[in-house]
Amino acid sequence: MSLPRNFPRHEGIVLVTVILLAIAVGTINREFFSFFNIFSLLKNSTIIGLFAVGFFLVLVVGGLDVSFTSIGVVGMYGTVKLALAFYPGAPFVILFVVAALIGAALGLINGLLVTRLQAPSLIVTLGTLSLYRGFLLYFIGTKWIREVPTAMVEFNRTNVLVMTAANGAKVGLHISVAIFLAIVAIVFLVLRYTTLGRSLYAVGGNPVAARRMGINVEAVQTLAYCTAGTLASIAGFLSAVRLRLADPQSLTGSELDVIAAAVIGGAAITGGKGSVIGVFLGVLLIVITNDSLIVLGIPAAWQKVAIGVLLLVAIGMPLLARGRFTASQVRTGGGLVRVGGGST
Amino acid sequence: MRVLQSIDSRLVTLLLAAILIVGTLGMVRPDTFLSPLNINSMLLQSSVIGLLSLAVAVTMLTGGIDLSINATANVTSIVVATLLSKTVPAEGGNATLAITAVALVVGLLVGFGCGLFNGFLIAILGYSPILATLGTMTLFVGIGTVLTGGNTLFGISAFAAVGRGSALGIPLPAIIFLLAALVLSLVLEARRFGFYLYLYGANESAARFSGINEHRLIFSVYAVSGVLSAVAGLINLGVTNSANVDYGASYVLLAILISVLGGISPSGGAGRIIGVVLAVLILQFLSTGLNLVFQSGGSNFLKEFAWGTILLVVLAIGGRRYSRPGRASKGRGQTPRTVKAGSAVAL
Amino acid sequence: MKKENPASPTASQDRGMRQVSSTTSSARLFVEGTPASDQPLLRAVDLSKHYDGVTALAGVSFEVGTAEILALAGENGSGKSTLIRIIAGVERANEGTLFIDGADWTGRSPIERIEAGIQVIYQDFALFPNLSAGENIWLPEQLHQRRRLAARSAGVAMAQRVLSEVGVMIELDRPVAELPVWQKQLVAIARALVHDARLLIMDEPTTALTHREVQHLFAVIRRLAGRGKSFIFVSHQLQEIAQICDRVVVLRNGSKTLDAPMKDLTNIQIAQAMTGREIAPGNYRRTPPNSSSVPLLAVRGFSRDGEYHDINFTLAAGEVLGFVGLMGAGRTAVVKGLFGLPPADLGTIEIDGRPIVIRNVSDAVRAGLAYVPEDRLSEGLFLDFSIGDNIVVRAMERLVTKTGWISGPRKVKEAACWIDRLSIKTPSSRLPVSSLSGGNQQRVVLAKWMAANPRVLILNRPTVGIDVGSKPGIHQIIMELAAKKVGVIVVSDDVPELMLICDRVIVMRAGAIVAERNVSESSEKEITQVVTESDP
Repeated sequence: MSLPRNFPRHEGIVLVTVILLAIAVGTINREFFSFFNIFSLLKNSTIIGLFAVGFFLVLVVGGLDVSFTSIGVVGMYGTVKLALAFYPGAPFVILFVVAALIGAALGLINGLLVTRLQAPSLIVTLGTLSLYRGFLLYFIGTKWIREVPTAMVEFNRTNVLVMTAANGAKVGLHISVAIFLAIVAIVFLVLRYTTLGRSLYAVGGNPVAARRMGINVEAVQTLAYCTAGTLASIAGFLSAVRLRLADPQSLTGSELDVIAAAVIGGAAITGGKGSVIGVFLGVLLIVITNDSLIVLGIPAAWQKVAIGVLLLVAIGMPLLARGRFTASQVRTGGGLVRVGGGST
Repeated sequence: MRVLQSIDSRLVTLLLAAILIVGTLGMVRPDTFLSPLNINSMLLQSSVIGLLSLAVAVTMLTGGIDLSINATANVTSIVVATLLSKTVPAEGGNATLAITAVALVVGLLVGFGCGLFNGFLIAILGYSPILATLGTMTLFVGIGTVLTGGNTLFGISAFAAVGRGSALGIPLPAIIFLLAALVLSLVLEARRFGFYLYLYGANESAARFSGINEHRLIFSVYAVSGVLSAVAGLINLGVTNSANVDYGASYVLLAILISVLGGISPSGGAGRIIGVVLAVLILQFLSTGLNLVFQSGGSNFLKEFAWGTILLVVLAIGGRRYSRPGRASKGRGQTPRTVKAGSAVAL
Repeated sequence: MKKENPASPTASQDRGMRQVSSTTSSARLFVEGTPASDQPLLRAVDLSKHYDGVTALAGVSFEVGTAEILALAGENGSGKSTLIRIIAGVERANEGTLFIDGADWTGRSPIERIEAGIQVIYQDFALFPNLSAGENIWLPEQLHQRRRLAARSAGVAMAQRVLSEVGVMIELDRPVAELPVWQKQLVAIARALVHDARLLIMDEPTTALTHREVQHLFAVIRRLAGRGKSFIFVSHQLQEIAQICDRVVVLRNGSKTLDAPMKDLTNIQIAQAMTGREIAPGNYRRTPPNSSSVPLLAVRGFSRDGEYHDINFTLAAGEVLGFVGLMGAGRTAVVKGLFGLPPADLGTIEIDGRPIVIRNVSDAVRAGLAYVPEDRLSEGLFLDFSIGDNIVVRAMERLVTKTGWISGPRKVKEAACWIDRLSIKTPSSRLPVSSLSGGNQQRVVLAKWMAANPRVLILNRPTVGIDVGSKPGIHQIIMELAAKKVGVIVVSDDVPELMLICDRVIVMRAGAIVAERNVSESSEKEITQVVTESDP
């Protein structure tokens, strides 16, 4: 497959890095290329990947949303509790939709707050991060729920693709991966082929011009936050599916992987740049890095160091590409208050 | 004289709020809330978060932010703890004192080094402060994890004297915090460095055009943040006699909340340290109050809910003060500025 | 009808631009089928606009016809931008009417005016730097049509069609941020055309273009005018106006001072209409500076890639040296280079005969240089801070005690001293500087740098945006500085002003010095001619 003529440079570099890393790890550990491992990698990418895609969408419009883990747990726990209270036998689709709606609502709140409060989105979403989680844990509950609705258990046993491994065992690709890939595909198509998708980039690139063009900047931004919330909630829900457990105190700690995946994948913190493919590749890179460290026998402690270094390098790359380090010229737009107007 | 009256009215509001809260809690739980033990405890608890808030505040004044404060604090305490555990002989006495002194210096240097690294990324390489400190936060946590192997280091009692000590009835950590706040406040309000810092935070390009040395400023600010975080880590070590990477997971959010509550504008150039100190106390009162009133163990979660709400409310009230001047701001009621060279304000 | 211009160059030999011959392009025109009516396309009648007591426009009337290229000329602060904004509908006039095709459009919204075919191409182009050139062209139109799906291939085809009408090809896939300025401009034009613009208002379109690129732009404009498009060409570049426009309207201080066909005018007439006789002929410089053997400032071989090359000049203590030229000549780049913002690539700078190295602003300040920037609001002042704070920024060494603490009383005294010396009108130094008028704000910026006791003071367009009555005051301050043996460099577009305050004037063009004249031995007319000379 030849790359399209205008395949972006950054994503190309990440792709190459992923491939090289895969080859490197695969050489040391033959198991790497087994179906089992690949399917496992993809499965591990799902939760982080869904968070990352949502995070990326907000980055595109020029905002920053760090509340995704909270939305994830609220969506997850809320759905399970609702199901157990009203409709334990609910089919999976209903549960999925409920989770999505909870996320959409929370994301909508984020969007409205950010566009109305005219405060930096980092700080607003730090506030909602705390608010949502605190609300969940104090007003809803802190107990683990092991008896999750059967639909979830069933779903967890479903595989979309079953391959036979070298040793004859059957290995399945979990269905959540299919959902993840489907969402990635949908986002890709929307971003590339709809005017709404292009508007997201327009708003992130030049909100003043976007407004002049008749784009409703606040609505577009709010939509991005809303979508991010939906995806975060779905991610949280799927993690409960996988663990067959609803733990309202879970999901903390993955923030950094998510942010790193988006940034490594080419999304700029100033907005308007990046692609969902890049985010996907970034997620792969992080997951492979984390997994391979384990496989190579490197203590888990070094994981954070590795991700931190990766992150700093990924940020540094476009800066290096610019030639001279003219920090003063570069920093405009990089500070705490993001460009894209006071409303994000 | 620094900025408009809106800051001073903010200070008055904070002071009133503090008095109101103390008054209310004092009436509701007079025996417990106003007891010397409790006051002592509150002052002690506010020290660590207070120092971290000072660190965040000072970086926010330049229009940036330091997300690595907690990581720096933890890695400092871990490095020092590791050093001490390997060098302290079983017996106490003078040897320990010298080693403690060295350990202290090492700790401060670790914080200083972390801060310089941040400064380097931001000033020289041009990283945005959010991303730079996000990266270094991870890095420092990672280094800390490697050093501790993921465990907690126990039994480090070298700084216990500081952690448990008090002077004039006030816990030493609180004194350190207040002293740091005082020094910072004086420097910001009465020294050239502080003056330039506020100017830079308010308008980067005008500061550059005025010949203010940007690099030195940024390095200094993040170094100060690093040192303050290191002190916070050392105090924590003194109080808990232990060190690990997970301590203070929510502290970064809290520190930012406190700074914003205290009147520090996230876009830079506005806000006073005294406001941050008041905000620290207010949050401490609220936190203790919540603990006392809601005896159940869930008070932590209620607090999380409360902090988030308070932050959003403060932002809502703060209004347009927080948008970035010039560029794509929604306007601060000033004369419109032009962007291009070659055109002044055209009427 | 359009005037034939015999000087138009053929663009076919140009690098980077492939011409699409009009015979092969589609015959479809982008002019709406409006029947030629006897009404002008646009007619403004007695437009007036006031802001907070300042009159931006006073009873301006003019017309634009189909396929006409109208120049709207005037200095900064003349009211051009306000007029444009009113035509675009972004602002409402206080008085007056606007007619489009004979109908009253005064109350219509900006979107409606775009529908009617009136489009403004702003100086910053309002493009999306992160999107491709093609997307910038077709996306707004598809958004306007309320399409849900972005028809990419149809969009690209549309973009290509429009570009062929314009006569240019651009790589449509490249992100706009990567394109050179002249291509960005063409993208902006193409975007307007896709939307069936009939009247394109171009706001200072040549500011960032090289001379050749300007010629390309003119070829495009002429071609489009040939297809019935009208243009309002907002500028104060005399030479360009003369080259491209059919008719000239000049604004000065909000009023129209000239409205005539280009063929009836000379450059001098236009220049005089723009600047007026508010500055009485004459020269303040009675005592020439003493010419000691060692100049205060000597610059040799000063070069910066792409901006200026081989700049050589000297400045004596107490001398006022003017830098004049068309926009884009490189004057601002040169003086900023002196100040380290950013520094030059090559060349030497000597102060009192001693070579100094200037790599950044600190070096420049230490060497005794001071720079008052053009954009005083965002580059010169800290608007939320007090007047006193703004004044003392560079004087801090004097205002700290031995141990380094700022002395409040000394600060207040210093501020008061400068407020008095420069006659800054304010009841208190504690008020925010944003409360001052433009003229007084400029005095604050001057005070700031004067408080630093510089040896060389560089002023970039110091009286722009300041009302006429306040300009003499600024000039006086400059004269006083010169009397104190400070070397002053003034960058300005206002030749009469420079004639008034300078000893010598240097003319720059395209990054190089082309002439140097003593004011006492020259005339305003001569210098203006040098500035506006056509290229050889």
